[in-house]
Amino acid sequence: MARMKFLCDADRCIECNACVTACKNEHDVPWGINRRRVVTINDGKAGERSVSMACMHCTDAPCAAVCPVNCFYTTADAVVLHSKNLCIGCGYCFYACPFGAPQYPKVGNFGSRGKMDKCTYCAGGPEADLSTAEYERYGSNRLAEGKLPLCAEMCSTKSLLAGDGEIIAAIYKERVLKRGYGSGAWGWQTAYRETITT
Amino acid sequence: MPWPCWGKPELRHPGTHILYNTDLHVKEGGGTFRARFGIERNGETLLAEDSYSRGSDLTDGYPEFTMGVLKKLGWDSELTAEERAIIEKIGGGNIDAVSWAIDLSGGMQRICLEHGVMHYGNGKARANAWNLPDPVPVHREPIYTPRPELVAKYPTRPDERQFRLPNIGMSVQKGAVDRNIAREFPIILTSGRLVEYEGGGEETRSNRWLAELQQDMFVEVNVGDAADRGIKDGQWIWVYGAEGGAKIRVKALVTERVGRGVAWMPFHFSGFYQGKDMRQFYPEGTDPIVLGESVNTITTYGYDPVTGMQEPKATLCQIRTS
Repeated sequence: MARMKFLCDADRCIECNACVTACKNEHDVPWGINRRRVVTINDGKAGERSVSMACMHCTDAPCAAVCPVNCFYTTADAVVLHSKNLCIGCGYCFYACPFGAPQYPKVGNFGSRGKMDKCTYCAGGPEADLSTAEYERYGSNRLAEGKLPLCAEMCSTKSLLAGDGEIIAAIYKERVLKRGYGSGAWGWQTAYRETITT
Repeated sequence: MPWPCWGKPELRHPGTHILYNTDLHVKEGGGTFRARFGIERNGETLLAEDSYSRGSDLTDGYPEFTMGVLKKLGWDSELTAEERAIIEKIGGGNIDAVSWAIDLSGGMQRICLEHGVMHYGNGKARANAWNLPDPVPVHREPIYTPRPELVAKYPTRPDERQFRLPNIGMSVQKGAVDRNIAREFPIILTSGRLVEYEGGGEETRSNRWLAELQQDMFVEVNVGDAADRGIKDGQWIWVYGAEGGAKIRVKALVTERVGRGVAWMPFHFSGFYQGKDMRQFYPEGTDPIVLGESVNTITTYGYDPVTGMQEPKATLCQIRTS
């Protein structure tokens, strides 16, 4: 089995938000919920950098470690998914996540949170693959169709890469060697406890 | 986009990314420089010399194709009866004058591509556009310029009637200088695009994924200009145009992206007019998700002498918190 990862090459991201739009359309994600977002630092200044962020599907995911109802599970492809049937909307995972991935619809009185929603790596949820129930709760399941996450597939500069960790790391390495610079695979140390050395 | 694609779909033309790439056959996306400015000027040929696209049957310059040119080369015999009938119908009494551009049969294009030549001709590029008012571009100060002292040396074009309309740019420019408009409106205003929206934005602001990404009309203000005016990032402010007391209410984006004395706004918004929400006036169900002030509410006079294109890119404004 592959070890699926995301890699955002911050030297290539042009903040076009195609990844965000692709994600929202593919999974019909409501207004205000952002499974993926583009974060820009030093906006308007020299050295401006953008990076596309979503759930990184961590090794030993901290969200899973703090979840009081054990709603998280890791698939054979190392994708971190959760069950919305079990989720109680407590918000602990939001505080644990180093990437700000968990999202909550604002429903009910007293600002109570609804079921947590996050990037599924286009791999659906615990319901049967490609079922209506799965689509309604988690969006489409492209992995079950043999396809990669749509955000990376739609990336206009191929800054955002998705796929087996070793393959995308090799692509990144080759790129950095050819162009002669690279600010590193952002978030890899935090998510996967490893970096890409070139 | 592989544009333009020549011929009919069955030809499977790959598109011509570089219009004058002579290293490729025209069927494979190659091309020549369009012979658009006549074939001769001051006794010199305007057609290409010693340059033609790969595999071309004509190994020299040639004019744009008309039925007359096709006949001279003897290639008109390759037209199908159907194509010829369409060309005859278009040409009426003067079939030789039918050019490839109005040949609805596509036959002339098809035959040209078969011969490896470009139906739009093979001419020379030119740097001197002798048929334009400024054959070689010269500097002209904008009508509303932040440097009025330069207007005497670099004035806009004289007033004149262009087609059926007057263009009184020079009078307006002189008036602006005489009234010292630049003192009252000291900030250069320009406008441009956002990646999320297209054109006036009515369609893209109606798309919920895109609308969510850009929810407010804004103006980029330099950090120094904002500090002078007590403007904070994200604050609602007024931008005043140099003509007719026009003003718009937008959010401030305080940034170093624009230089001191320059303001920038996107041109994709509409639906607010001088601070007033106009949503109720949209026909039911047609109002976009996101509305905002249109930058062109406060842009000013100025028209290109040839195309009539308005000048919304270089004008002046003033920015205030109220």
